Amino acid sequence: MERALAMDNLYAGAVDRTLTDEQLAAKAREGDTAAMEELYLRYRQPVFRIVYRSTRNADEAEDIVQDVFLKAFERLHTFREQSRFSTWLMRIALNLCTDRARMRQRRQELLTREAEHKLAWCHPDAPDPMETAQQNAFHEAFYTALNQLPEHHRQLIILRDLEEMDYEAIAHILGTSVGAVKLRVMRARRAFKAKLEPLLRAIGEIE
Amino acid sequence: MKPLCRELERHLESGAERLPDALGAHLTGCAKCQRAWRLHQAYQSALHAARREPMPACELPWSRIQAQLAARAVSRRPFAWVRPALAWGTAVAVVLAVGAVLFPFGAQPPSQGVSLVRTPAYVQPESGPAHNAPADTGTLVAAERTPPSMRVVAQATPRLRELTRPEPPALESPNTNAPAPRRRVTDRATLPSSDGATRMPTSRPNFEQSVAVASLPLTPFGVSDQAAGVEYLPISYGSPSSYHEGSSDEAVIGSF
Repeated sequence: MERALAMDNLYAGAVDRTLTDEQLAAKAREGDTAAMEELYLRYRQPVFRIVYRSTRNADEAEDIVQDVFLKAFERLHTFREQSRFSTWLMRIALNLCTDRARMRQRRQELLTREAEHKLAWCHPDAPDPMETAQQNAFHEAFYTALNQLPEHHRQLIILRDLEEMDYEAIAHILGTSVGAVKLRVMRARRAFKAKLEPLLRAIGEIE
Repeated sequence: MKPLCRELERHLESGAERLPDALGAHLTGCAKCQRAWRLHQAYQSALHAARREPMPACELPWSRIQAQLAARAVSRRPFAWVRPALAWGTAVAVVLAVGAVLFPFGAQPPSQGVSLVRTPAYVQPESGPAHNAPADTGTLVAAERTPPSMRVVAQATPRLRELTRPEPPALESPNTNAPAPRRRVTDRATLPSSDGATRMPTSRPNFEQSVAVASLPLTPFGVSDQAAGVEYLPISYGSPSSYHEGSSDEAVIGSF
């Protein structure tokens, strides 16, 4: 896989890298695969970060990233340059994350998080369990509360508080106003804290 | 709720990590605000921890995306005809539907049901028998046709009564006991009339009454148009044999 990544970086110079996203998107719309590749290399990791925050599973996140770019390149003709390409791409990613979350809820989580922890404990290179137990519990509480949130709240927490995007960018992605985003973020935080409080109390983080 | 409590809540909701001194002093005396502040601090530290969490690199190579794009393009190609075919099919269906509405097939109104073949009405003199007169007596007289009393029968061919079926002309045959060959009714010549309808020859006054044949409309219930004096008999489907056995008040469609 690393070799594949190295090959990606080697052959990525087929297109002018100084072109903007929108110029590359225009070229890609005409079938220029080098422009598609450049766009992919630019946004592969940012999209992956957003998706991984939502799924917490690298394999599943890669599947979604693949779907995001396939969908984006197949529907480039629908991309109007009223918004930025990155915004349009993030919107596709969030929509696919929402779809996957619904599917995951229907499947009732075939791979439970507990099983993942048991595997981590058995791993020979795993750090001392006693040292990491408290930190894991903290992370666990955080992501458990995050996953309990409705999708629209979870997206806002990820975009604003974890990825630290500004309100304007979030407003572009969600297709709404900055004021509405601020209000929604405030509500999402309130809901998140309400979910987080009993979990933190259970692990002794707060009295 | 006190104003300071409300102000602290606004601060926390905006994501502030530090409090002004006035609000900090308020915390010491308000247990509820103290609890909210601790929860907010825990939330902030959880956020920081999550941000610092090592993020795995996306190892999805471009070659896989490219292969998927190519595979999808190939798989979509065989169905490229579906859209135009659907469009053309819909267009043809719409044209046919409009045509069926504007020019309905076989829906000729009864008042306009034009007889394709009309035969004159023959009546017998009042003194003579009505039906069992011999065919060759020549006592039948052609009567003027009066449209209101005329009977138009919807059927494919002129209908003859069994009793009035014409006898074939006697052939000079040495064997007098042999049955004479039968002639088909359709073999008889018809005479054109002045009104365009076909008139049966007057030399064969075998018809029981005036019979006019109309082609359309064919209806399973029968229609009577009193104004035009036209009656359309109900249709039944059958064979030529049922033509003679069935009711005389219905037209029979069959292969003759």
